[in-house]
Amino acid sequence: MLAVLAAMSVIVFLGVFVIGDPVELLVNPEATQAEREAAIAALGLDQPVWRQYLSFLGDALRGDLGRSFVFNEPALQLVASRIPATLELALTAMAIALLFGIPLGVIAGTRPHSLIGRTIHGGAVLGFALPNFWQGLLLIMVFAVLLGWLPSGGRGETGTWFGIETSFATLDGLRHLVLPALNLALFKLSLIVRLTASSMQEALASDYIEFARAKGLRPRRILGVHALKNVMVPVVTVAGLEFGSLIAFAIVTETVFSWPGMGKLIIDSITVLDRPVIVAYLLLVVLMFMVINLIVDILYSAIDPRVQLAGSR
Amino acid sequence: MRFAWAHLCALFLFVAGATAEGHASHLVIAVRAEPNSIDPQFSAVGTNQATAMHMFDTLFTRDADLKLQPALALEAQRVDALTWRLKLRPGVRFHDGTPFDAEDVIFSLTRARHVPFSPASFAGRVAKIARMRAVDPLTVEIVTTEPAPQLITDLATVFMIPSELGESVTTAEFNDGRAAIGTGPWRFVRWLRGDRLELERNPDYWGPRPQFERVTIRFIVSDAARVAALLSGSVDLIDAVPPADLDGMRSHAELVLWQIPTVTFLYLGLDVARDDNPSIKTPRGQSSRNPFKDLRVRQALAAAIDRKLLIEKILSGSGVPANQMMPAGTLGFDPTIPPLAYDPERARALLAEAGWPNGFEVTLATPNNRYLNDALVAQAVGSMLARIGLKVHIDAMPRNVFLPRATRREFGLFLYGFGSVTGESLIGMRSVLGSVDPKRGSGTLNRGGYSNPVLDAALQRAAAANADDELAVNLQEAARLAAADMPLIPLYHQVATWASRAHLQLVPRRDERTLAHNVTSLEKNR
Repeated sequence: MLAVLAAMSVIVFLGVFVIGDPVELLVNPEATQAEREAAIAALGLDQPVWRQYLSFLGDALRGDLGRSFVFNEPALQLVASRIPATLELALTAMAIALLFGIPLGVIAGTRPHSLIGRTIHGGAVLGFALPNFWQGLLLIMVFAVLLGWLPSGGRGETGTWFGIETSFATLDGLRHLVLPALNLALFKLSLIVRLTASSMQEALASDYIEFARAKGLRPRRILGVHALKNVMVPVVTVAGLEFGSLIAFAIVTETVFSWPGMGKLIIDSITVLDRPVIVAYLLLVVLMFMVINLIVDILYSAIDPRVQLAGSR
Repeated sequence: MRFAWAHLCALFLFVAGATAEGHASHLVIAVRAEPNSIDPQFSAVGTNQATAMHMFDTLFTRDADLKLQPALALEAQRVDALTWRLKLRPGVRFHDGTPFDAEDVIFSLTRARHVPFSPASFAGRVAKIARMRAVDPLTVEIVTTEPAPQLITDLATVFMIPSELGESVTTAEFNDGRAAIGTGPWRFVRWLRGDRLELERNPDYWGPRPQFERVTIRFIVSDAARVAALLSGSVDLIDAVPPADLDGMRSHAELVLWQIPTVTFLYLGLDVARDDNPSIKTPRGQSSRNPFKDLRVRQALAAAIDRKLLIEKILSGSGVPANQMMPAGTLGFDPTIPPLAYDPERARALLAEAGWPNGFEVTLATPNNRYLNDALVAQAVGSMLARIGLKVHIDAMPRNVFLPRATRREFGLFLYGFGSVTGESLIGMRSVLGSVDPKRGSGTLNRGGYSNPVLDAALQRAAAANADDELAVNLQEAARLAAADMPLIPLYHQVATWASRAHLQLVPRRDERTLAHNVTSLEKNR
């Protein structure tokens, strides 16, 4: 795990170095040469890249990922301060995707040739095919500009729950959350609908379902317990991984809705080559993906008794 | 769980019955760029300065036309070559009630020199100050290390903060509001990173009191999202209206546009120094001598560009054709320089005369996220140059890739700009066209390698000028020299556009800064 993190940091470090010098983007165009050099020295950019990396590594081992070139604040703290905004967006989007995706997928999977089944399939294809940013703009045009029901962007008022600033705590915050969460959810919703539907079709055609039918079990129970349980295995895997990507790459949605989350921070940081923030963000994302994978593995064994974690054997 | 349900129900109620809430005296502005700090001395870039101007004041300030005006200082007397005496405005108080006096000036100008980790420091603006003395609470004497005729111009950029903050005050304390105490028209309420800045009116402001009680400045980077926010009514005014939306907004009954020609000057930069440049080839694709060293080729390029068409088609009118760095009405503009005529015939003749009857092949580098429609402008320029026989490749890239490469002087031909936000051309001329000389601080942005001792001399005389007319004469001479030698090809000055609800009025500024106290409402009881 540490090896992955270390490799990541080298790649990012070199990548940003190759693009160029952030000082060009940070200093005032009117700055004199002396001011430029002072800025370069203040950021430690006058050192050769390997020495910059070593000093970064030394600090990183002590838990210090450096200070943002732009904000002059600890990079990790900067990224962490954006986590609540992104997390609440991702959680809401995931909840929408699962709450609507699984039932719709079950319907589409059990009745694939009916009108409703085909409508759901068609909708899912549309959700896949339309680019995310375009969906976002469309949502804004319809619900904010034409109908005027919801705000067009921004985070709105936040309240405090257990010391964390969150939009869930205020009505204004919730109103601001609806459109971006919907935008973020649409793609995942389509994915889960299709996945559930196809797994359902597969499950319904299998022997154990035939057996259950032969035993005379009620269709509800066959569907709700025996089939769904098997359908859930791939859905959980995919949902877990997709949740990671929701958090890490909500960039498009956050930009379109000017949502002050991590995705917006990373895009802003890349445009000004704020290396400490880019590195801190990516390290955090890698760590998060590893944790999510672990959780997915554990959930597996809970759902599917055939899967056993290596240690418990 | 019950709690969650309550919220969910409330949410749907809200969705169904949402109406625009009526905060009569609340102004919401959306701007494209966010500052990286509230500390007014952290970074000298325009976005930070525009934000600071809401909460803090400078000794002298620049009005919407970028003319110097007294602010916290009423006048500056030059006692002798090295000594200045500043008379401060009486009766000014900081937001926390402490009076503004000479100690605050000395403290602020001292701190500006060493704000830790400042990426764009103010140190250069106060570098010539040797020592300062409070003669009385409202008089400051400043002694410089060398004659500093531009001191007032420099001081006009440094914001005043209370000396009570103490030397240990940090940028972080400004960012969370503890130290965000100025004398400006607005008081800090809170700053939510990446989202918005909230301010309230300073009822004790020494200048004209803002009309609105509260203002929220939202940061919306995406053009489409900013426009949508205005159309949906969530904000009252936006800056940087994209050219593509201009026509739609003009015909919108509830909106009004505010436009002003800015000091942002767009030009084609040329490598005029090297004998060959990898981005330039002969028509047959072989490496070539550098054609841009020949004045006739540079003149040919200038004559090949139809500036009017460019502005009309690519910028929807958001530009004014330029023949020099400064626009009319600013210090350094020379009215005797003739406009650059569009004359492709003459351009072809000049090329042939210079020994390039069949043209040459060149790559035009351009940023694609820095100026209004910059990459599209470059494409249009490319096709105009193709009409006089050049073969032009367009290489568009984000600003963060473009700038380091430009500074390494990798480009033979590039599109870029400079904004003379101080309202005079000395800084721009010296950085963009002055010979590269780190000691004298000239040529920091000279990305074409131009060097002209006569021009340098004129700029040096301008820098030493003791009066504005002397400064103007020398800057105009520099402008004429540049027009004759054409080390860069002037294109246009950008026009800045704001859009607001019809009942609002804005005083647009030539430096493109959006200031909430420049917004007033025509409706009563606001």
